[in-house]
Amino acid sequence: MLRDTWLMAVKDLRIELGSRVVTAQILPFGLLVLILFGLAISPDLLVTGDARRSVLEEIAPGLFWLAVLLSALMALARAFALEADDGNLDALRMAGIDPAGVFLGKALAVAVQLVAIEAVLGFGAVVVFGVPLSDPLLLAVTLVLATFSITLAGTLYAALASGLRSRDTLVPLLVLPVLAPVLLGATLATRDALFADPAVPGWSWAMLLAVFSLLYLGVGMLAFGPLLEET
Amino acid sequence: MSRSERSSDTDVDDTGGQAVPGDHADDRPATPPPAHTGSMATRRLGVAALVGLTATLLFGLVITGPEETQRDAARLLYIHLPTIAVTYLAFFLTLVGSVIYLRRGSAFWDLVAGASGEIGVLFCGFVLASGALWGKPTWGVYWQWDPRLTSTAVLFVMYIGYLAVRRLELPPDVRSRRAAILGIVSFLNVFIVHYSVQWWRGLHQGQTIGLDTKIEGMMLFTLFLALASFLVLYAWLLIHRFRVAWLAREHDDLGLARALAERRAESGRRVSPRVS
Amino acid sequence: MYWEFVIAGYAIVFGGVALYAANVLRQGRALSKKVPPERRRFLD
Repeated sequence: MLRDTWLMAVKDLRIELGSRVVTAQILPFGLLVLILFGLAISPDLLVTGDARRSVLEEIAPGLFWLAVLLSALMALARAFALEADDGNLDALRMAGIDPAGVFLGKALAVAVQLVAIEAVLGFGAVVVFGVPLSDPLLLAVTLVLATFSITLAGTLYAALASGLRSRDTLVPLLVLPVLAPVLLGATLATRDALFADPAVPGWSWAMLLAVFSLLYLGVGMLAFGPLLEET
Repeated sequence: MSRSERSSDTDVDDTGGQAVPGDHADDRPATPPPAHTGSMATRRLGVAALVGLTATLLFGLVITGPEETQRDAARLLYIHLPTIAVTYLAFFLTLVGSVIYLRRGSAFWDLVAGASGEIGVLFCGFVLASGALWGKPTWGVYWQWDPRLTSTAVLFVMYIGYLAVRRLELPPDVRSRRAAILGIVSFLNVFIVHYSVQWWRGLHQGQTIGLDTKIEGMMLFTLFLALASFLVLYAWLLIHRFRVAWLAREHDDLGLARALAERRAESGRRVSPRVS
Repeated sequence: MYWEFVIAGYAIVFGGVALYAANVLRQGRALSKKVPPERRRFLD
């Protein structure tokens, strides 16, 4: 299973290296979203009671994770559009590849892409929104756990949403409601990590993300068996 | 999937002596199914539901007096609470149907899951609507970010997604299997969403949007009446919706069979014989 | 007090149910006609 995981992941990443869709299309999209947030939410709006902080900066954690989520949707949709076009999932199954390996491999490939996206968007967010950093460890842990959560759950639901004709309009509808708790947890944990907000137990929320990841690790591996049976 | 099960149909649709409008059945002993989805069972359920719902209207709107603190707005609870019950029951049945379908491949349970899912989405919409309309007079706002309302909204969208997957253009069994997986996981998701939102809102000054209303006496009776009526309604809707789904499936199978037959006939007409 | 909300709520729910039920019944009739009698119902 681990070998299959590696094979799948490497295959997907090689395709990405060749086509560079993430770097050329999805990343710019993510940055654009960040900028659009700035346009939609005026940087001049100040937090009532704290004239030094703009609303934009205050809600930066949420905006960052929204931008990441939206970008992740595209990456996830694409991960399965690749297979759909050539009926590859069928071929994979017949080649005897472990379904759990397919699941993990695809998730891993998306995770790598997502980490790259987060790095760039994170840098962009710091520049555009101007946020401080109080707890780098919590931030790092949050990023890792949130990435796992998004990719593990996202891979499962993106697989469910992928039709024959690589239609990816259903992916957001299936993936986003499921990831609502992840958005919540990641945003709050990041809030605590950046602003050291005393009202927010950042580490507890990070634990929620850990639980979520583990849950979908199990569910995904279980579900991919029946999911890949195409007969 | 056995076709032999369809050879005779006496139990289900016997219309007895009841005059059924639009019924095209003959009066021979082995009555073939009528050209609609009604039956003895649905007649009874339908009447019961109608009576119950009318009574609910009467009691809810007229007979039962207004509740003290909320005046008449509490009357919406006679709708809001039963629709919540139906929603969860419906989605639970989708879960059950999905599980059984995955284990046994039974078309029956797949269609039950789908029919129940659709009704669940409908009633979930009712929950949100009645909840918002109750909320405005009670708390002053249509929307509150409390765990129940928020998770209901997410639930609503999730199961709309479930219905969308049921309509994907895929081979039927692939589609059903995907929908089944989704039907199971979505139900579990509800708990995740609920608890995370609950925890989230718990951090803020106890915005306990509980039901502060004391429900007793006449109100309690009306509530139970409403609950019973809506449950019967759910059963009635489920049976009809299931039958429609069954018919649709049969119709598709027939269409497919016809297409295959035509193709074979075509290849038979060709000069060079084909090995099929 | 607040009767508008109550009426709106009841109207949405009861109206919605009626519309949905009518639609399902209509579909039932339409499909029943297209399917031969022996295949119309599921039997246990």
